[in-house]
Amino acid sequence: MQSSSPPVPVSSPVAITSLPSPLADTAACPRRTRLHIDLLLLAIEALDLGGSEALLKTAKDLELQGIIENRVALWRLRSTNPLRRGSQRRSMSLDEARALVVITCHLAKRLTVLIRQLLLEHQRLVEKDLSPDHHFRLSHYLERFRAHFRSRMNPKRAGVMAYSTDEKLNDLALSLLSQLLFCTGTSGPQRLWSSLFDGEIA
Amino acid sequence: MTIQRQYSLPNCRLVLEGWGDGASASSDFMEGRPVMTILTNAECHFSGQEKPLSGDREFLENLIVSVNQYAQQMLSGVTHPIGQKSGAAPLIHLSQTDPSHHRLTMQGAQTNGKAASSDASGENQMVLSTVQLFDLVEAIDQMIADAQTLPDLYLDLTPVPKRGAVSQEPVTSRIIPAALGVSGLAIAAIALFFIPVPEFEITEPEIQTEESLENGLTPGVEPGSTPDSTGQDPEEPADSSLSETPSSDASLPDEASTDEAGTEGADTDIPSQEEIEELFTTATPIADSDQLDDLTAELRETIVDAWNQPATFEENLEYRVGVSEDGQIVGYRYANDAALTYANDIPLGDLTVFPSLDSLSEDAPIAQFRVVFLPSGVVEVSPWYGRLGDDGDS
Repeated sequence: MQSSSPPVPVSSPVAITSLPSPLADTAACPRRTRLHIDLLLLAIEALDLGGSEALLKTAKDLELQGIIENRVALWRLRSTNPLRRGSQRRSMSLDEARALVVITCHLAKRLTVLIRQLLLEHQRLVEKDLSPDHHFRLSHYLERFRAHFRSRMNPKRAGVMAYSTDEKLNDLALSLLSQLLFCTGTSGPQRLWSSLFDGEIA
Repeated sequence: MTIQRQYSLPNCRLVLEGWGDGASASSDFMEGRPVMTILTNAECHFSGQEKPLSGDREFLENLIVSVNQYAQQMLSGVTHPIGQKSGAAPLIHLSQTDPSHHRLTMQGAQTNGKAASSDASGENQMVLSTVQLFDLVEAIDQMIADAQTLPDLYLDLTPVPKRGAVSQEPVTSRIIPAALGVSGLAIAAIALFFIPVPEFEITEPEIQTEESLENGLTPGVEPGSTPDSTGQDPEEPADSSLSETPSSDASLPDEASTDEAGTEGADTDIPSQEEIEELFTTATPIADSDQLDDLTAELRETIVDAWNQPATFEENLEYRVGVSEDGQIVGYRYANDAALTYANDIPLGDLTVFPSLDSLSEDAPIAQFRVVFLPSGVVEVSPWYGRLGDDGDS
């Protein structure tokens, strides 16, 4: 850590200081928090071909290596999603969740143009009563999201069985897409962070 | 002097008019951008809508709270309790019409006649797309983040507490499963009431065997083969081929042998250990380390899920397991003596699908794993050859 060198401020917390503690600092993240962050990251990976590399690079750029050291650490964190194959019983600390939220919003911001374009296209298709397959880029996103979801989530979990059809997975992918849009805004990280604890605090 | 501030986004423009605070005005002019502290009029223009929403400070505060709550609701899926902090009925209400459209309703009558709507009902309604809604949220967020405009406004981003959280599922759909369960139980109870209690007679085991043989009640057991003789029975090819270790037959539990005798017809489809050995040596191994990782995790989970009885053995049971690309266990071999002895106490046999070997050995790639069952109840799974890809890289 760089705390010993005075000119450089302690860097890793800076990116995440704007996110308050909804729970006690030592508390672990609730189930829905872990699940939701992972799904949003999955949507980003479906949007951006180099998404998983970008995740690690962003962690480095935002100087969050103290929390997410490497690929394995990131994979472990994402495996706290209870719906994953090989889901880990390990917990996710608030700082780890903060780091993932900041990374999610950072990546979403970079993809703003694409996210807006896809949502506008989808809306146009809905107005014309056409299926999403009629737009190449949109159907590409949905297809990749479905493939990611099916290959990584455990089909035996009830939460995954709920998304057994292409249509249901498309709906999930589209709702995640509009959620990512809200992450791109000025207060995106704060909004996402707060929403992850809706209904979870005492 | 009047100050005007605009926050423009592709689909939404928020225009504020007001005055600065006289006291701080002089210093602010130095910086070129005075602080707006008093709001006289707020207008919210949407693309595609002729008339803007407009109102005074009360309108703006209402807009901020309602839009903020609705945006958070979209992100979390958890309904926020409707209502303003002040307790007054909200002037502005948002609701979802379909997954990509949102209806914004404004009670026009209460806004000092400044509302754009001149409808008889006093209501102003518009339907916004998700992107339009986001632009509205973003305009508000930019305005609040702007320290030079109404610095006393702030964004309340507190998560709703457990008590306030309203489940999205309507009550009826939550009751239906419970009602079905209760009525199902009742129906089952009534149905079972009419079934007579089975009579149970204690008889000598040997007599029972003879009787059942006479009655033909145990299909598969051929007349003449008594359960005692199974261990050395030459008629069982699968069993004899299992005997790689000399002590194996004697140590196999009796019921295992009878099981095999009972399903002799099916046994012929199950490949022998030699065939599996051949499959393991001839099939293309899966070398992709990502795929191996996935298969490892999947295999571990499958076995852990299926292995729900306590360990009956004292030493580690080691197996070499072949898994096809789609995660199916296609065969397994015993890697130590104990593994054969306790083969029936672990779930590998039940999990294995035996495809026809001809179809597999040709070109279907197979990943091989070392699966170790520990007496402590832990299952260890690792690729049999380690990671082929890693070896190549280093």
